[in-house]
Order: sequence, then structure tokens, then C-alpha cells
Amino acid sequence: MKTILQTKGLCKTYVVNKRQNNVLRNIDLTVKEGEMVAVMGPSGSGKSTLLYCVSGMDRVTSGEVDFDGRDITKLSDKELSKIRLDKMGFIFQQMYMMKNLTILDNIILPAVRSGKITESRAQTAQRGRTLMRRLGIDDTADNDINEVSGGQLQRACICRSMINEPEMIFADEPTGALNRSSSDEVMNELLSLNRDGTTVMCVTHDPKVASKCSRVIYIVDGGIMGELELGTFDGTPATLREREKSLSGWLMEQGW
Amino acid sequence: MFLRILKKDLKRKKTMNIILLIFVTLSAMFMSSSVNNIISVATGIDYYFEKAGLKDYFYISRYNNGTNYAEERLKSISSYKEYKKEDSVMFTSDDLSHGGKKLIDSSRSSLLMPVDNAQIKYFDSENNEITSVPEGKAYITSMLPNDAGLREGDRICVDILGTKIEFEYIGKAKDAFLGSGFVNNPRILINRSDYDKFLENKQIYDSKRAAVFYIQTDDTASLQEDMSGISGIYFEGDIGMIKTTYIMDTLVAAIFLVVSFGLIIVSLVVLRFTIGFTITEEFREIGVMKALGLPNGDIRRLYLIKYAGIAAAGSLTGFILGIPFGNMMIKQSEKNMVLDRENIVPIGLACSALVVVIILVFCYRSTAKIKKLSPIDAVRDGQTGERFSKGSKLVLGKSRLGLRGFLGANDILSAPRHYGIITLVFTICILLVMILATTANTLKSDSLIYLFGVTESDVFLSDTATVFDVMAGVKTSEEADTEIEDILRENGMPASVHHELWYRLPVITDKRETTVVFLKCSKTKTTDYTYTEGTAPAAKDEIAVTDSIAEEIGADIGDKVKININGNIREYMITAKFESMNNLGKAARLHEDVEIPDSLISSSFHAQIDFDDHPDDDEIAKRIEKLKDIFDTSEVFDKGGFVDDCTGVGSTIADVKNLVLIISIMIIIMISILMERSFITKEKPQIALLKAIGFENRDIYIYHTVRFALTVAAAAIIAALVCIPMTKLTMDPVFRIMGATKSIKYELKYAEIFGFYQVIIICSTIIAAFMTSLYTVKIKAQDTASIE
Repeated sequence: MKTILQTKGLCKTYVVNKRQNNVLRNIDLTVKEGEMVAVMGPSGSGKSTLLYCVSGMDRVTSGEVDFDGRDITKLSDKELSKIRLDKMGFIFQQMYMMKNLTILDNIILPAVRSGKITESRAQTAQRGRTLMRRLGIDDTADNDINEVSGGQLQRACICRSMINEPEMIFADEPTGALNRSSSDEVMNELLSLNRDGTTVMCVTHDPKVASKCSRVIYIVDGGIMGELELGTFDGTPATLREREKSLSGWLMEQGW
Repeated sequence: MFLRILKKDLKRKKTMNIILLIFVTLSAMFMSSSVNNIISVATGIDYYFEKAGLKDYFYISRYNNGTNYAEERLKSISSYKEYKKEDSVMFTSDDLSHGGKKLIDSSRSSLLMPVDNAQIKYFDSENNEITSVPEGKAYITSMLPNDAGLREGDRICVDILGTKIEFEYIGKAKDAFLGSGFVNNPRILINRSDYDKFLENKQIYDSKRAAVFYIQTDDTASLQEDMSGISGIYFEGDIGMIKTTYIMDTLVAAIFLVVSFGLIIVSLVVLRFTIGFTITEEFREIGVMKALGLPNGDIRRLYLIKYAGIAAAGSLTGFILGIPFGNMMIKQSEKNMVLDRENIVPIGLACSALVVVIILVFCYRSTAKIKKLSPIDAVRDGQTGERFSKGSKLVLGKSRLGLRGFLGANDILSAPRHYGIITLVFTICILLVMILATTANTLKSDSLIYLFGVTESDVFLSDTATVFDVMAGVKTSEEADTEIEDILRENGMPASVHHELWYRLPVITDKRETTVVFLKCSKTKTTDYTYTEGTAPAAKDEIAVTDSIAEEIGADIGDKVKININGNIREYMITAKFESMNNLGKAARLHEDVEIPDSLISSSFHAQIDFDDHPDDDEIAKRIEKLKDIFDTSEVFDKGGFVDDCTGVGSTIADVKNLVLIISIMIIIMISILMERSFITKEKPQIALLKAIGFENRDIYIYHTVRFALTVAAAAIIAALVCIPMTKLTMDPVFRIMGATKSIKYELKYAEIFGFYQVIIICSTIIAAFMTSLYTVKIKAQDTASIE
């Protein structure tokens, strides 16, 4: 399978009050097309920073980040914006949306800005509605963002991340602010997207969420401590229990 | 613990707190300076007259063969309590020179007087009373020093009938009686010994002496009756009339009143907005505190203490800044007046305290919402699903707007109150400029010419000396006109010339006898003038009067009055009424065929020149320049210039307009910067989100700038729509006092009013908002991870 994301010697350092804080140290990571990778680790280990660096939202201190064949560390802000808009999708723990737009308008906003897919606005809106229907939230299309539940909002965020048909979705604790049932729904949607061919990289604290991914990366103090290959999840409860058990054991070994 | 929370809050929300502090400072500054100015202006003329010691009635009368008939009459009547007399020597602008050149061209008659005989108080530019003038030095009153560009230390030469003395100009003096912008008759205040040197010249002693009488009386009507029909009187009027001569100065002051009220409204609106805005920001924290179990009263007290602290600091700073700002604003009004500025500190402090109270009231009311807020607000950012109003107003999928325009327009429509307030503030600022520009243009345009009792002519030439010659019997008015016609013909510009002459004639009705200023021109017809009621006088025994004169003599159209012309008393019927800004609305018109000796002429307007070949405006402009050379005067005008010369404040108002334009632009820029900065702080998560999903910095700049561009464009449209009614509403009363009883036609220069100023203000707003939006570059996509 083709490599979609690869980092070489990725380092990220913050300087706070003249003190150097090495958040990421020499990260070498490869993600293949169609993979669903979970990034785990204790708080402050650098999980989110890694996600933001590899997605071009944050600048690296040193090292390379190749996305879809281009070293994005060498790109300008404008070029990075274009890549994020057209080729990446983002889901955050806090379900950020534009307050003055309806759910549907929030979803189609990146598509209208991008123009990647040649279509009229009405067609874009129709595509947005189709996505919402697929995620079971089409009845909230004309609602404002404060009129829906957290689970619905996060699914709307998934729709937004999908609207430009990205090659890879980056999710930062996508279920962190949700209850268990909403969390399951959201993860099932991500799994479904992944099954359809979209690469997913997901930062999580939740072993149950990570166990649904094909690979788990464990980070401690800015460095990759270990990787666990779980394989593709078939969606059955029995397999899930098996994968959870396997992951828990591995995490214990890593010092979780 | 409260103090600790407060300290943390002030530190953490530094930007919003600083913005609030700046707004409070601006509000206190506008409020304290504006209230002070309003009080100064409202009490201005009364305060000035009282300080100068003006009496109830005034005459200026010249000596005839050593006798002053006005004084003779005063000695024989009893309708007054006392009178004071100031002896003076009359001169014209032709008698003044500076560096060998004529100092100024002016049609105003002027007086030279020794300061030791001053019967009223004169003040220097620092508002100190002038009690003495050293020998060889001189103060000058009225607008002359400004118009002539005199600077302290300049040498001016006064040469009257061969007696020539050079004086050092030591400053402008304020003269309550003749120094107003409308009267604008200069007086030169000199030392007694210098004055006596002029009187040693027999010609001056015999023909140039005049006296100003300040009379104290309770019965003006009887005094007028007792004093009617005296020859040699140049001017008479009561204190009410003198007050109205300050209309042009008051006009400037009144404009500052309008500006001040505008600024107070702006400051209150901005304060209310900012407090509401910042408290909304606190909802999240309030929710958390409630969730932790803090009682409502404690939470409310916390915010009240915080806002009280900011209000106190801002108000104090605003009070201090308000003093120089107020002085700068009032300076134009103080040019010819002494205004009451003694209480600016206590009034300023009171206003600043009021700002603190207003803020606390706003704050108390805004924090009342705390009771209604629940812990869920901590989660839902101040909005619960139940009370949530529809946010989005436009639908992106259906909109034809560009994305950034859509986002901007949708934000405005989604928060109509916020943007409505900004629009209101912008509208007020734009309107102030538009009203002033329209007023200044009107006062400089020929659309007011009908209000000055003259017919429209190609050129107006000021020739005071000729009028003096006619009054002194050196030549007849016919000869004076012919002289000018001959000069014009010799220079290849054949034209007919006429003067609109003024006569002060006693009018006798059943009720009283009074002196009225009549206008008459033997070369025009009464039908050439504009009347508001009735029909133009068609026969020798018919007259037209202004509303003011009709009221004064107690007569109306159809009534008959007796007029004493050179001892010949005849009955005349009032057939029409007209508007006039001559003599502040106190005027009448005689039929052109009425015969009156030139000796009764009391004054005249400029010589009116109508070229035989009816040239166009460009040619007239060229000829005006030629005439300035031919007659060695700069006082040659077209119709608009004539109106400007008569009112004398068009330029002052234009200066005020420029000042207000600068203030308005500064306010608009500051509001744009502070509001945009507030929006950036409040919308940080949304900006970070947009960047995260792939929006470029440029998209954010444009999106944020569009909101202000649309807001200021809306303000410009509203201002354009209400410009005329608002100008009429604010300026008609002022013109009414000047004698324009009907609504006047304002001179609208569309390109200037709706183009130039609007473009300047819109561009200023857009540039300010855009420059501030550049700050969003500091918000990064990864900030989505660190936003609270």
C-alpha cells in the first residue's frame, strides 16, 4: 500500500520562560493509505502536538513530514492551508463550529471555500445533506449549533471533515467530550469511513476507541515507545473484546 | 479570595479589560468636555455681556459741526436711567496699512478710541480685561486681525486725513458690542495721548468724530420714540439685537452643541455595548462559579468591583484628557467671546463620576442575568437550548454572496443589536460632518442671496469710501454708480451699476413711533425681489416689511403706517412680507419711485454690477480678477462670495467642519479598532477553526473587514437618507433667528457630501478594521487545542 504520511526525525521544541521543552523527539512514523492509526500516551506526552505537526497545523522544529509525496515542512502557510482544505479532514475534541451558521452550512463551509469539486452551491448543500443522512443527523441540517446534542454535533464535525473527500482524517480525541453511546456512534462512523478507504489518524485516551484501530502507537515524553499492529477490525463484539484484551495487555507493558 | 480572582481576571483578560478601559476613558473624556462646552455655550452670551458690562440700548452717532445730536436729544429726554459715552474717530480700511501696503479690504466702518475712556470692558485673547494700552501700541477688535493675518509685534499704520501714526499691534481684543462675527466692526484701542494727536487734526475733529452711547433703561419703547428722527445716527439697537448679532458665533457654538450631544450619545452607546459585550464573555465563568456553589450576590459583587475599578481608572483619565479636548473644541466659539470656563474642573469631575455611576448601573443591570444563568451556561457558552434564538439568518447553500462576504453579512444579521449599535455610532459621526458641510456650503452659496435684499447681479464690489462720500454729500448715489460704470466701460466691460441703499426712517403707527431700516434701489423694481406673502409694492405709497418689523410696529399686510421722510410724513400701505437677513430680519422695502435725498442714506450694500454682454460664470470669474486690480481691492465677489462676505462665518463653519471631520474619523477609527479587537478576542476559537480547516489568513482579514465595511456602508446610506431632514431639523432654527423665517434651500454638493466625505469615512473604517484584523495572524490553527 502507498505511504500517505511519513515523518523522519520529527522534533518539536517549545521555549517557555527561556526553558526548552522538547515535546517531540526524533519521531519516525509511517502511515499507509487506508490505515486507521490510534495515537495513545499519557497526558503531556505529545500526542496532540504530533497530530498538529503531521497535519501542517503546527510547524516542526526539525525533521521532515511527507504528506502525499510532499514535504509539508517546506510549504508556505498558504500552501499548507490549501492542503488542509483539500486533502485533510479534522475532528476535534471540542466540537468547534461557526456560531452563526446552521449545522449544514458549517458542514459545507470547507467545500464552498475550496471549490475542489466543481458544483453549484445547491449541489454542495445537497452533498452535505447526503453526508448528514449517512451519519443519521439529516434532521438537524437547519438547526443552529446550540440546538443539537454533543453526539450529533461531533457527527456533524465528521461530515465537515468529509465534505471535501479528504485523503486523510486527523481526529484529536474525537470522543473525549462524549458519553459512551455517542462515543460508540462516532467511532463506528470513523470505522465506516476508514472501510471506505479514508486514512484516519486518531489521538485518544480511550483503549476502547484505540482497539477499533488497525494500529496503535504509544508515545511517552515525545518519543514513540512502541507500536501494536491490531489488524482490520471486523466490527463484531467478540473480536472487539479480543482486541481490547490484547491492547490492554500491551498498554500495561508500555507502563499505561 | 475575591481579590485573588479579580487579580487573575485582570491579568488573564488583559485585552478585553484594556479595551473596556479605553472606552471608559473616551466616554468620560467626551462626556466631561461636552457637558462643559454645553454649559459654557448655553450661558455664553449672557455671561459675556454681564462680564463686559453692556447696557440696555445703544447708539452710534457722528458729530456734525461739533455737535452730537444724539447726545443733545439724550440730555432733553427722561426715558432712560443713565448713559455712558465713548468718543471715537471713524475710519475705513483704506486708512490702515502694514508694511506700506493696505492692511485689508473691508467694507466695515471702524472706530479708533482711547482705552481710558472705555465704557464697557474689553478683553484680550486670554480673557483678561484691557485697562491700559502703552503709547504707540494698539489692540484691535473683531475679525480684522485674523482676516489680515496680523501677528503680535506687527507694525500697522493709521493714516486718517493726513495724520499718520504707526502702532505696534499687541493683540486681538474682544469687544462685546461690535466684535461679533456678524457685526464685525473693528475698533482700535489706543493710548489717550495717541488719540489726542488725531484730534489735533481739525478735519478729523470736525468730520470724523463719532460717539458710542451705552444707555440703561427700563423702557426701550419710550426711548426709541424719544430718540426717533435724529440725523447722524449710524446704528441703534437694544441688547436683544446685539445678542442676535452673535448668532454666527452662537452658530459655531451651537454646532459644537450638536457635536457634543452626538459625542455623549456615542459614548453612552459604546459604553452600554462594551459592558454588555464583556459581560457576555463572562457567562462561561459565571456558570462555573455557580456550578461550584457560589451565591449569586457574591458573583455579582465580584464583577461590580471589577467594573467599578476599571470605571474609576478610565473616568479619571478621561476627565484629565477632557480638559484639553474641550478647550480645543470650544476654541472656535471663544474667538469673539469670553465664555464661562471657571467651573470646568468640578463639572468635569461630576461628569466623570456620572460615567462611573452609569457604568455601574449598566453593569448591575447586565449582571442581573447572573440569577438566570445556570451551570449549563459554562458548557453552552451562555446559551441554553431553551432560550436560544436563531443565530444564522442567511443560508450558505442558497446565497449568491462570495463566501467571505456571506460570513460577514451573516454575522451582522445574526447579531443585529451589536452591529446596529456600531451602525448608529457611525451614522451619528457621518451625519455631523454632512450637516456641517451642507451648512458651510449653504452659507457660501448664492442660494441665500434672496435673503439679503438684493437682486442677483454678476459681480458685487465693496466700496465703503464711495458710500461715505455719498453720505457726506461729496457726490450723489447716481454719480457714484456712473463713476463705476465709466471705469468699467473704459476697461472694456460695459455694465450697469446700482447700489441697494439703506435708509433709517421713523415709522409712526397708532401704537408707537420707531425707526426702521428701509431698503431701496431706484434702478431695480420691487417686483424683482422675493416675497413670502402678499404682492410686491406697486406704487410709491406701498411698502413691504419683514415679519420682525411687522411685529415690532404692530401692523400687517393691508395696514397703513406713516413714514417720516425728511420731515414729510405720508401714509404707506403694507402690501407684502419678505424674509431678510439684513439687520437680523428687521428691514422694510420702499417702492423704487419714492424720492429720498442721499443725505438720509445710512448705509449701502456693495455696488452691484451687471455686465451688458451677459458673460458666463468662467468669464465673470476672470473679470472679478480684473476688477480687483482696477479698483485695488480684494472685495469683489460673485453671488456666492457676496453671501459669504455678508454672513462672514462660512469659512469658520468650514473650519469647524474640518475639525469635526477629524474628530469623527478618529472616533470611527478607534471604535473600529477596539470593536474588531474585541471580536478577535471573542472569536478566537472560530478563527482558529477556520484556519485549521484550511482558510488562509487573507480569508480571515477579508471576512472580518467585510463586517465593518458593510456596517459603515449601511451607516453612510442611512446618513445620506436622513441628511436633509436632519440638517433642516438642526439648522433651520438657527437660520430662523437670522431672519430666514421660512425653511431655506440648502446647498447640496452631492459629490462632496455623498461622495468625498463618505469615501473618506468608509475608507478610514475599512483601513482601521483591516489593519486590526491583521492581528488574527497570531491565532494559529493549532490554537484549537488550547482554547478554553
